[in-house]
Amino acid sequence: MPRRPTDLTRKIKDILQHVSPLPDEARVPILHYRRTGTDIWGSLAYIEDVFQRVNDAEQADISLYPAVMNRHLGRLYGMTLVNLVETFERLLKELAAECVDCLAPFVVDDRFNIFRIQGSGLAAHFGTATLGKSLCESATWLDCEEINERFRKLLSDPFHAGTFYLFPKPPGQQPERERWRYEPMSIIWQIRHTAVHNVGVITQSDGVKLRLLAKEPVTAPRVLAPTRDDIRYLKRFLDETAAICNERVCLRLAELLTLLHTATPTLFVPQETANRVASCFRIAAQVAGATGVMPTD
Amino acid sequence: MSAIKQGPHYEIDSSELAAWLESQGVDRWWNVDGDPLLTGRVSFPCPADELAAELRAINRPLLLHAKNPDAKGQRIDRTRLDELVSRLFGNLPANGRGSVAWPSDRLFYFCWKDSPYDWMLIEDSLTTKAEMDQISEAK
Repeated sequence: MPRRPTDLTRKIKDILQHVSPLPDEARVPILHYRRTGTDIWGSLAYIEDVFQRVNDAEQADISLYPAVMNRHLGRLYGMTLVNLVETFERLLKELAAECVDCLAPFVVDDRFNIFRIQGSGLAAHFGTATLGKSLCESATWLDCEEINERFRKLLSDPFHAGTFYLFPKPPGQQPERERWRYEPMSIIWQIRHTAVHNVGVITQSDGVKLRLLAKEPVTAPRVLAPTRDDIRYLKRFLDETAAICNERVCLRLAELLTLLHTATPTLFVPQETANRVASCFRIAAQVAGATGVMPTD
Repeated sequence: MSAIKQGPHYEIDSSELAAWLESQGVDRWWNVDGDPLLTGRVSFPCPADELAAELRAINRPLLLHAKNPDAKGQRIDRTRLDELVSRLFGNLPANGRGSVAWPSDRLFYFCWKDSPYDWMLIEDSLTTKAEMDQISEAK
């Protein structure tokens, strides 16, 4: 009996209807990041538990061959890796968008020219998104140098080039204590590229890039097979880096707002702006002498 | 929205849960699934001592799901938690043909008394083991 024809175009369009609302935490970048990261880890732990349970079952006929289980888990770890990195990328976008929205009413220099957006892209955001979202959401944030350039310009003193580096690069960029993150972060972006664009295959060209970034031998072609420990350490690194990025961006933004207020004291009410910064970053930073009041959870 | 509030439950202070977690071993790792308050404050999985510190800082009452239908919000302390703990998949038969030999991770269903969200606190024995192995290797 022939299979009934299926309208696959309709079925693909249906995917767009299978959605759920954003969690409450989506209003605050760092909370949004932590919520998603925890959810991803929770899903992984759930599946691992089911696998383990089946594997340890007393009845041999329902247990899995370890090789099969490990192959499936390896695939899952690879997907988890990509999800965690993309959650971090989204955090960077959302932090930048908050900065744009906090600064836009008070600056007239060319700092926003660092974002390349076409008119049609802007039109798509019109009416619902904030200026920050329209400038920051459509771009990719997957390269330390590019990310540095955007935040440096975005958070520069008015009409200056800026000295703020989110991922300070050795040997000269500040702060020195954060320079070590540049190397692992760059490797993570490249691993993500391999996982997303080549389904985990380290191609010859990926191998060359990874060898240069890691400064140690990388065999290619090979398939990435991340372990549970790899994912755990990746998550720990990204979680720590997320907290530090959130804090550094917040404090620099508060510093810049203070500078703007000093130049033009009538520009804004310090307490209101400090409260907004505290709400966006969940840090009680000081703006022009006023300490932000944290919203109650 | 909370199913825990509608059904049988006990009330316990978060500081009591903190003390119980520490009594299970400060190097034991835990996950929280579904609580915006804790996931906003702590990176999970998380060792017991860090989670306990956060629970003490929050210092609010929790509602704990109970199987006992007589549980109607009575206040309990840490000494009752051992008997109220559940196991992830622990009560389910394997493929309908018997119980499993492997003791799965412990869990509780909680809800903050002043919040609509139900959430799970789940032991993460795999991470606990990995961390302990790492410490052993370092010695």
